Amino acid sequence: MAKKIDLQAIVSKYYASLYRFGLALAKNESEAADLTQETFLILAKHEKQIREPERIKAWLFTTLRREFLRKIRIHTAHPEVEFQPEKHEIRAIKSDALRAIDGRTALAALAKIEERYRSAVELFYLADLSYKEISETLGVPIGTVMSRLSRGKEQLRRVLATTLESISDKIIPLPKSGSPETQDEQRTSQRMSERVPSF
Amino acid sequence: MNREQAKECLSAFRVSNAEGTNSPKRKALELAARDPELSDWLVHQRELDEILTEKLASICPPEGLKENILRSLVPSCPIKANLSGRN
Repeated sequence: MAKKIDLQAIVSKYYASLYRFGLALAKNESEAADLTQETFLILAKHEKQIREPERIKAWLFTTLRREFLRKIRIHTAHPEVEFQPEKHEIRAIKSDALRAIDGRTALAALAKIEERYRSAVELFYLADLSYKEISETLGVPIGTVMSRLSRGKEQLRRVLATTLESISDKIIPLPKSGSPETQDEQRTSQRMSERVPSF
Repeated sequence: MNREQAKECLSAFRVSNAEGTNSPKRKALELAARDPELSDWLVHQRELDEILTEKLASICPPEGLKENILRSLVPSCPIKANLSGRN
């Protein structure tokens, strides 16, 4: 017999992580919100058929992913430029630099992993699913999940190293105040700003 | 189990020990304890997992999403008003 589930408690517990997973898949905030809402509507519709409430978490992420795939089969799939791992070497990532990135940068890095590994890595980081739950959600054997997680995380490390390198290239160190060169540079900069019209 | 197999196994687990210690994981951890290169890799992998999980969790859903979802799951009030016959 099906057990009664507390929909409100389930929404409160999972809506944020489902939204983030939807955002990783759809790469669009309003589509992610729609996917999250639709997932809970499907849950409400099938509420009485749920026999194992402890498996609701994996069920929710499976359903959201299935809805997303159904939609992209209906609409034209968005072509994506995939990261080409063979063209990038693994560089060491300093943890301080990694801690300086924001959530959106982390999400963008996830999107650059090859599609075949990406879903497993997204479910690991965004849905907090165990490898067994990921195996259930994706419908692939546990060994395949382990292999995808391992290769996907390796690619993610390369993507992040490249991202952090490009960020550090854009950072121009501040000049030391007081030195003659700096004063010259400041005067030049002031003259330039007088010539350039402001917007 | 060699170093690459151990990496594959350990990639599937989180820092927390919530997923238990099964036999392959235990073997991989034992190998990491003897192999400095694997041990370094594991430290970096766990750091990456921890930081990324924290960063991704900082992405906030749009304001009102939870309320909209809850509202869509609850039968709406206007139906009751119609049933009262006072329209």
